[in-house]
Amino acid sequence: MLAGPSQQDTVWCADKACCVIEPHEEAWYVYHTLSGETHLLNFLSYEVLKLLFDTPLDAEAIAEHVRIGLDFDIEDCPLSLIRQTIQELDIAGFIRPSDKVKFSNA
Amino acid sequence: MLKSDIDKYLGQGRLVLSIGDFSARLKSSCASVGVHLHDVYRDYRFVKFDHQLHDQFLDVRPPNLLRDLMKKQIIPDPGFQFPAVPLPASMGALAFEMGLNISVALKTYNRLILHAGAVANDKGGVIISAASGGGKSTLTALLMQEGFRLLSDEFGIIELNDHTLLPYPRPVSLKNASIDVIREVAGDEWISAVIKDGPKGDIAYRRARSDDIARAYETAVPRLIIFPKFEKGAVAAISKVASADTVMRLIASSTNYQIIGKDAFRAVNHIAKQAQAYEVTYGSSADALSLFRTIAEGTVL
Repeated sequence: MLAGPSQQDTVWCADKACCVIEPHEEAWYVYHTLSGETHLLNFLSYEVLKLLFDTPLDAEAIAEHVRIGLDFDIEDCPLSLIRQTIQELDIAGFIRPSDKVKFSNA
Repeated sequence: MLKSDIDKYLGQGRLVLSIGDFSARLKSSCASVGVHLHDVYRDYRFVKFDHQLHDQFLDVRPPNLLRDLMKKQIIPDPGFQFPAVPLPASMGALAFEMGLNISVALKTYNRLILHAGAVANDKGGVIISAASGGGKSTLTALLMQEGFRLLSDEFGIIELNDHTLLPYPRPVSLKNASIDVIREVAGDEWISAVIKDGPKGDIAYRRARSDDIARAYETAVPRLIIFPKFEKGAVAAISKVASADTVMRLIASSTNYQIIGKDAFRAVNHIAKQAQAYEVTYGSSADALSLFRTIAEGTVL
């Protein structure tokens, strides 16, 4: 879990080796080998987690990828929903801030 | 083993009861425990303890010296601390069964333990998962009469390598009204003496059959999961349970899921996907059997 408040531009990543995944009809069970906890993820949480297995991304980039991947528009999947999902995945221990830092042009 | 030897070794703590792949070293000076073993466990294999490895230990003993002398009481002592309410010395059978159950539930680390009844036929196994009072023992005993062999009344024991059900055929514990229900279908000779006014009311045991005991090494692939729900006067109903929900229910019913971890996770998910699961609400044993037959017709069983 992120120590301290999350930044708007925090880049997140996830380690696939720590997760055992079992897909079901519209849900995914994920066993987290580091915590020994079992979690039930919905399609959105799983989509975000899956994205972060492959590439470290910030919330805005995650939202963009999710909208394309699930064919959602911004109303279906606002940034606030993605931020909330990120927070839940962080609390569960699935994701962490990446070592990569996002530099702004400003 | 001779009855006299069973009594002698039991008193010395040198009696080993073998049930399939499990063995338990037993100790008790309580006469009613010996009576229970001679009666309900008469077809099981007992051997003398000779320092061989065993899975469980159980001593049914007085809680203290005073209760060995006055108003005699007993408790099951499985070799580790757990809260046990002392029972009258006449309830040795109950203390024995409770103690062995606690020991299996809390001290098995190489298999996944589900709190469930389990039976099987040649096509596969049935897991009957319910909270206490849900009717799993009654349904287990009824299915024995339908031609299923008894795997266990109390535990669905899952092998972690191939996710099959391992038998542990101990006597089926029957409570209150279910005693007469099973007596009627199984016959009086298969039911033990009734222990009156136990913590959960009247208790009796339906003996395992010789074939159940002899086939205790034969595992079964789980094909059907039943979540029985007994409600007095309920209208009989069946509903399919989705695999994700089945996983949740099986995890909740396990006594060692958290200890085993990843292998247990894989096992419950595999079973939930491989087997069909149904919730069965019933108000009578006739309803329960009728619903089960309906389900079984639509499955491989």
